[in-house]
Amino acid sequence: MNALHTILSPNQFIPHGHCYLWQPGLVWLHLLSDVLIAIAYYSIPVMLIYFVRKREDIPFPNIFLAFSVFIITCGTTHLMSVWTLWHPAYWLSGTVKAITALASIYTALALIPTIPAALALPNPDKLKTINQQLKTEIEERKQAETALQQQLEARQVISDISTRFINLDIENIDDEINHALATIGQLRNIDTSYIIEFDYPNEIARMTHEWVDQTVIPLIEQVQNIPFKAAHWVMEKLFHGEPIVVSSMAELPPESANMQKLWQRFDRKSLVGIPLGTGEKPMGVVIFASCHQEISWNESDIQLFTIFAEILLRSLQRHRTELALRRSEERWQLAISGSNAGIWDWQIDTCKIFYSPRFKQMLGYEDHEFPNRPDEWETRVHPDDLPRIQAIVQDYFDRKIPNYKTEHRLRCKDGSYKWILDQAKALWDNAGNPVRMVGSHTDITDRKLAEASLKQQLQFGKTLSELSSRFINLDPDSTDTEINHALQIIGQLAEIDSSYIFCYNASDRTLNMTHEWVADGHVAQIDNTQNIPQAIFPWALNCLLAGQLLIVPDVSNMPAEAQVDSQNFQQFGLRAVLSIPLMLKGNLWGWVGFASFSTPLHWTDANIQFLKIFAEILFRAQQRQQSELALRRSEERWQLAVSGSNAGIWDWDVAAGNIFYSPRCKEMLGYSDDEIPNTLEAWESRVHPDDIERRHGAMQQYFAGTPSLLQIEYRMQCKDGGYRWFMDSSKGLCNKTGEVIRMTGSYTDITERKLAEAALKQLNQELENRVAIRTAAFQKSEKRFRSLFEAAPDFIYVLDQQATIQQVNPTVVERSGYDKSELIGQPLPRFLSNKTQATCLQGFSRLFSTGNHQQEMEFICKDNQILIMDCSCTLVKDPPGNDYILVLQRDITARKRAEDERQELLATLQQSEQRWRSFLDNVRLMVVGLDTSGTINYVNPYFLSSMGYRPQEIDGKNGFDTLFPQYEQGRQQEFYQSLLEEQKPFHHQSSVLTCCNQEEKVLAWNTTVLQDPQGQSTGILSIGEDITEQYAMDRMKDEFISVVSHELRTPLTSIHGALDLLSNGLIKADSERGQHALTIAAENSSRLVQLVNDILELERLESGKVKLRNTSVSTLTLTQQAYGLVELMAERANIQIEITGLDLLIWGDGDRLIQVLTNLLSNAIKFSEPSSKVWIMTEELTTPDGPYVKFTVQDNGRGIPPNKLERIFERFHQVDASDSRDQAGTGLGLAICSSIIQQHNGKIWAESRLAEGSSFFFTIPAAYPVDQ
Amino acid sequence: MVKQVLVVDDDDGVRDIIQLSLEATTDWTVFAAASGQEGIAIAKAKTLDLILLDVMMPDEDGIEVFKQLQDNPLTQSIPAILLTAKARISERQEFMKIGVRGIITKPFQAKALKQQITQILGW
Repeated sequence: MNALHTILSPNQFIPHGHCYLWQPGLVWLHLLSDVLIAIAYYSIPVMLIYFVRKREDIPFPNIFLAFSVFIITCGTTHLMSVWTLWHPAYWLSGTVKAITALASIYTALALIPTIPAALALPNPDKLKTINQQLKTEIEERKQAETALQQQLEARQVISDISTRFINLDIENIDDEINHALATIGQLRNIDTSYIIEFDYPNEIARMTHEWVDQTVIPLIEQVQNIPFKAAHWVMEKLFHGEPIVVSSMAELPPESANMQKLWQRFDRKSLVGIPLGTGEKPMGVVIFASCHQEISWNESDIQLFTIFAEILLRSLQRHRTELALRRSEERWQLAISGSNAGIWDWQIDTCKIFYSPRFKQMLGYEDHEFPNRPDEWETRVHPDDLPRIQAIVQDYFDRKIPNYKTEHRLRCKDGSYKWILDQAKALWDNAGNPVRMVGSHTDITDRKLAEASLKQQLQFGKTLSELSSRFINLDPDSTDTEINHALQIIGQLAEIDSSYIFCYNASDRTLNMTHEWVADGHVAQIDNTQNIPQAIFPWALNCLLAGQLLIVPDVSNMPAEAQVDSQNFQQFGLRAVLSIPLMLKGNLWGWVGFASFSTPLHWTDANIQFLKIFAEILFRAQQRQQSELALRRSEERWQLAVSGSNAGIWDWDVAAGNIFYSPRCKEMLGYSDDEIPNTLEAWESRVHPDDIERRHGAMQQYFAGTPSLLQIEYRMQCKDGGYRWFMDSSKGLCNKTGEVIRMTGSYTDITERKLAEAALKQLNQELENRVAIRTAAFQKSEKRFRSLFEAAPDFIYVLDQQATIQQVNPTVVERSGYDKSELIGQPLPRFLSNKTQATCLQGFSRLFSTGNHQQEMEFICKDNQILIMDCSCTLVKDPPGNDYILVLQRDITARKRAEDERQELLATLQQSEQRWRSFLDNVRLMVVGLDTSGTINYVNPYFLSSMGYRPQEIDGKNGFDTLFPQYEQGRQQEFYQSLLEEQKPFHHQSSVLTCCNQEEKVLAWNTTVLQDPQGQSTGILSIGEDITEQYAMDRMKDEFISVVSHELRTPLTSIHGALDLLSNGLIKADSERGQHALTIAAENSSRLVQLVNDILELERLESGKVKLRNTSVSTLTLTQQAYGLVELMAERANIQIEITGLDLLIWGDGDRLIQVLTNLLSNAIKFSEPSSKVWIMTEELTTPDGPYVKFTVQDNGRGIPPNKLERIFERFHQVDASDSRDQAGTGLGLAICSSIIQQHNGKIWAESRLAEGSSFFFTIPAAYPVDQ
Repeated sequence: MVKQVLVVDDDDGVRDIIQLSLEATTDWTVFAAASGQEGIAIAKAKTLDLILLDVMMPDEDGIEVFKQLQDNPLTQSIPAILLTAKARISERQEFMKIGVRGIITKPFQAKALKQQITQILGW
C-alpha cells in the first residue's frame, strides 16, 4: 500500500513544469507537442488494427499488434509527460515508460525473425507480372476446357451416330445419314454438309445426301452428274486419299481456279472434304462447309470429320451390300415363288437340299410328300439318264464345262416320267471346291413329246412319200417285190414283227396271204396262210367285211364273241394285230395286216392313220398291177386273134391307082362286098374324121422313108353308122428307084382291144386320180411297165403239159448257169434232184385236177450246186384253151439252211436246258424264276426245303406278295420293273425273304434277266445264297466298330482339344485354365491307353490267342490273392471285404481267374457306399455236366436296373456312361471277364436289385474234391 | 448381346475342352451340361443362341435330346449343332434330316471350333 501510495503520491516531487520554470511558452510547447504526439500515437494503432482486420491475408499480423501496443504505450508516455508538468507522479511516469520499454523491446525482438520473411515478400512489379501470367493461364485453361467440352460433345455425337447406324434398317439409312450430317453440321457450327458419290464407270460425281442450315440454299438437285474433269484438282487429292482443307478461298492455289470459282458461286467461305474410303478409288467425299464466315479449321475438326466420314463409309458400304443382298434375296424369292420353274438349292458341303414347292408340284407331289433330301431326286431320275447327269455334274465341278445344263427324265408321283430341263450354277469356295449349287427345273415334256411326235410324223411322211414314189413308174412285175419291200419298211418303222397283205376270196370264202414281211428271228407264215377258211376268224372277218378296222392290241384279251378268233390268232403265234380293210367297189378285196408275235401293242391314232394311208398306197399299187396284168392278158388275146388270121386283106397298085379290098374287109364294116366300091376314096371316106390326118401323115411318112411295115390304128365307120377300131398293117413293094409301087395290107378289128384299153385307161386314170390325192407324184406317171417275167427274183418257167420247158425268165438263166437253149425244150424234172423228181411228176399229174401244186424242189445248177426251191405250179389256160403250166420257184436254200441250223440249235438248247434243269434241281442254292408280271414260274427243291414251302404254296403265286415281307414288297417290285426295263444281264443284291413260318432270311441274290430272241425281257432267274447269319455278324461288327470309334475318339477329342488350346497359345500353360487343360489331356491319355489295352486284351481272348494255363487251383488262394490286390482300394473307400465258403479245388488258369475276381471286386467296391461290405463266396455245385464251383461277389451298392442287366457283359455297355469317367473304367472289364469264364467252360451272370445291391456269379469246373 | 451357348456332352474332358476353347476364342457365355436332361433344363431356363449336342450319350442320345428340344415351344427355336465322332456321309445325312443346323466332327481343332460354328450359323 505504501508503494502504491508512493507511486501515486505526487507530493513528494516537484512538478515538471518547474523545470521549465513555468514559462508558459515552454510549458505550452511541451504540452501541445506531447498531446499531439499522443493523439497521433493513439490513432496509428487504430489504423493498423483496422488494416489487419481488413486484410486477413497479410502475413505476420502479430507484428502489427506488437507495433500497436508499442505505439500506444509511447503515446501514453507522452501523455504522462503532460501530466507530470503539473503533477509530479514520476513513479507512475517511469512505470509507464518501463511498460513502453518492455513493449518496444518485445516488438524489436519479434521483428528480428520477421524481417527475412518480410524481405521475401514480393515487390509490387513482380506481383504484377505474376498476376498477368495467372490471367493468361486462366484464359488458356478456359480455352482448353472449351475444347475438351467440344471434343466430348463431338465424341458423344459420333458415338450417337454410330449407334444409330448399327442395326439400322436399310430403308431408313438415307434419313439416318441426313440426320447425321445435320448433327455434325450443328455440332461444328457450319452451314452445310453433304455427300458426293463417285460413279467411276461414267466418270461422274453426284450429290446423294445434303444438310443445310436454314440460311443456305440446298444444292442437291444441281450437283448431279458432275464430270470428274470439272473437279480435277479436288479429285486428284481425293484419289490420293488426302482431305481437302480450305480455310479461306483466297488461299487456294492457282491450279484450283475452276473449283474456286464454283465454290465461290455457291458462297462457300471455308470447307473440308474427307474422302469416303482409302485407296485410289474412294467411294465419294463428304464435305463440310461454311457459307457465312471463314473458319480456320484445326486438327480436331479434321479428326472429327475423318471419324465421321469413316462411319458414313461403313454404313454406306453396308447399305450397298445389304441392298445387293436384299435384291438377290428378292430375286431368289421371286424365282422360287414366281417362276414356273422348280428351284433346287443344294448345300454341297452339308448335304442339304431344298426343293421349291413348284419343283415338287411339277412331279405331282405336295410339298410335304417330297422330303428335301438329295437321294429323293436321285431315285426319281430315269435310270438311263442318271449316269449321264452324274458325269455332267462331275465335269462341271471339275470345271471342264462352263455350264450345267441337262435334259433328263424324272419320275412323277403317278410313275410316269417327265422331261425336265435342268440348269444350275454352283458356288465355289476359295479352295475351288463347289459348296453350293442352285438350279431350276423346267418341264419340257410337251416339247419333248412334240419333238418325238413331230419326228415320227416326219419319218412317217418321209416314208410314205418314198414308198409312193417307188410305186410310180413301176413295172407291174416288180410290184410284188416293191410291195414286200414296202411292208418291210413300214414294219420296221412301226416296230412290229410282221406286216402282210391278205386277199379275200369272196367266192369260196377263203383268205390268202399274198405278201408278207417278218422281222428277223421270226418265221414267215405265207406258206401256212393260203386258202384259210373264213370261218377260222369269224369275228375278224365280220369286222373287215363291214369295212371296219380290226384292232386287237392283245389277242389274249379279246371280247367274248371273238373267242374263236383269239384262239386261232394264238395258234398262228400272234400277240397283237391291226388289219386295215382294202375295199374295192364296196366289197372287201383283202386287208393289210400288222402284227406282233411277242408283246401286246398299243396303236396310237397317228399310227393307225399312217398305216391306213400306207395300206391305201399298197392297194393302189396292187390294183394297178392287176390292171396292168389284165391289159397284158388282153394284148395276148389280141395276138391270138391276129394269128387266127381273121383279117381283111387289101392290095393297092400305087402306080396304077387300083385298090382291092377283100370281102372280109367290108364284112367287118357290116357291108357286103358289092356295097363298097374298090376305090381308095370310098374307103377313106369311112375313116373317122379325127383319124384322117394321123392316118394320112403315117402314109406320107411311110412313102417317104419306106420302113418295112406300116401299122396304123384308126376308126372306120360301119354300115350302122358306128365306128370300129382297126389295125391296118401293110407293106409296100418298091421299084428300083425306091419308090413304092404297090402295097398290100390287112385289116384287123381291134375295137374290143381298144375298148378294153380305154376301159383300162379310164380305170387307170381313176386310180391315178385317187392315188394323186395322197401323192402328187403319182400324177405324171404314165409309162410302160416292164415285165415281171423279166425282173422277178424268182425262177419262172412256162411248161407245156408234158412239163417241157417252153419259156424261162432271165433269173433262171442267170442263177442256174444254164444257157437258155440248154433249158428250153427240156423237161423240168430233168434239172431236179432224184429225191424231188418223182414228187414233182406226181404233182404235175395231179395239177390238171387241182389247178395248182406246191412243193419243195431241189434244183441242180450247172455247177452241181443244189438250190432248194419253194415251187408253186399253176395250170393256166391261154385263150385258145391250151393248158400250160406256170411254174414259180423261189430260192429258199438260205432259209432251209437256217431252219436246219435252228433245229440243231434247238437240240443243243434242249440238252443244255436239261443240264441246267438238273443243276438247278440239285444245287444247294436257292433258285427262283419270275415272269414279267412277277409270278413265280420256277423254284428249285432247295428253295422249297430251305424256306419251308410246299410247291403248291408257291407255284403261280405272285413272287413279291408271297416271298417278301410287307415292308419290302413295294420297293422290290419297283426295283424289279426297273431291272426288266434296263435289261442289264446281271444284277447282284441282297434282300429279306419271308419263310413259310414267317421267319425272315437275308439272301444274296444273283439275278439274270431272261430275254426272248427279240431281246424282250421275259422274266428273271435269281440264284440266292442264305446270308442271314453272315448279315447278322456284319451288323454286329459294324455296331462294334462304331462304338469303338466313339470310345477312341472321345478321349482323343479331349487330348487333341487341350493340346491345341495350349499349343496355339489360346490359353497359357501356367494359368489355371492351362493346368486344367493339361489335366484333361493327361487323364484322357491314360484312359486311351487303358482302353487300347483292354480292346487288345479282349481281342486276344476272343480270337483264342490267349491259351489258358490250366492247373488245379485252390479257391481260397484265388480269393485271397484277389483280395490282396484290391485291399488298398477297399481301405481307401472304407469298404470291408469278407471271404466265406469252403476251400475247393478247381481246374483253371489262376492268373486269369484272379483277373476276373479282381475286376468283379473292384466293381463292387466302386459302386458301394463307404463303410459297407463286399462278400466273396465259393460253393460247390453239382450239375448234370459234373461238379462246378460257383463264385459269388456280392455288394450292397446301388444295383443295376433290370433293363441293363442283360447287356452288361457286352462290350461298352456300362450301366451309366458317367461310370466310365467317375469310376475310370473302359466299359470292357465285364466283357473280358465273360470271355475268360467262357474259355473255362464256365458261366457268368449277375443278379441285382436297385438300391439293394448286386451279385455277380461265375462257375468253373471243379478239379476234384479237396480231401482226395 | 453376348451370345449364350450350351455344350451338352457326357464326357467331362470333351465338355471342358469345348468350354475352354470357346471361352478362349470368343466372348460368348458358355454353359455346360453332362446329360440331355440337364441340358434341356438349362435350355429352358436361359436364353440360348446355340446348343452344341453330343450324339453318343448314354440314356438319351443327342438325337433324342434334340427331338425333345424341338417338341418344347420354349426350346424349339434354338439352333443345334451335333458333335459326333461319326464321320460317314450316310450317317451325317441321317442327322441332317432331323433338322439340326450342322454337324461338327470329333476330334476338332480348338481354334476352328468357333469358325465352324459361326460359319454354320452365319454369325
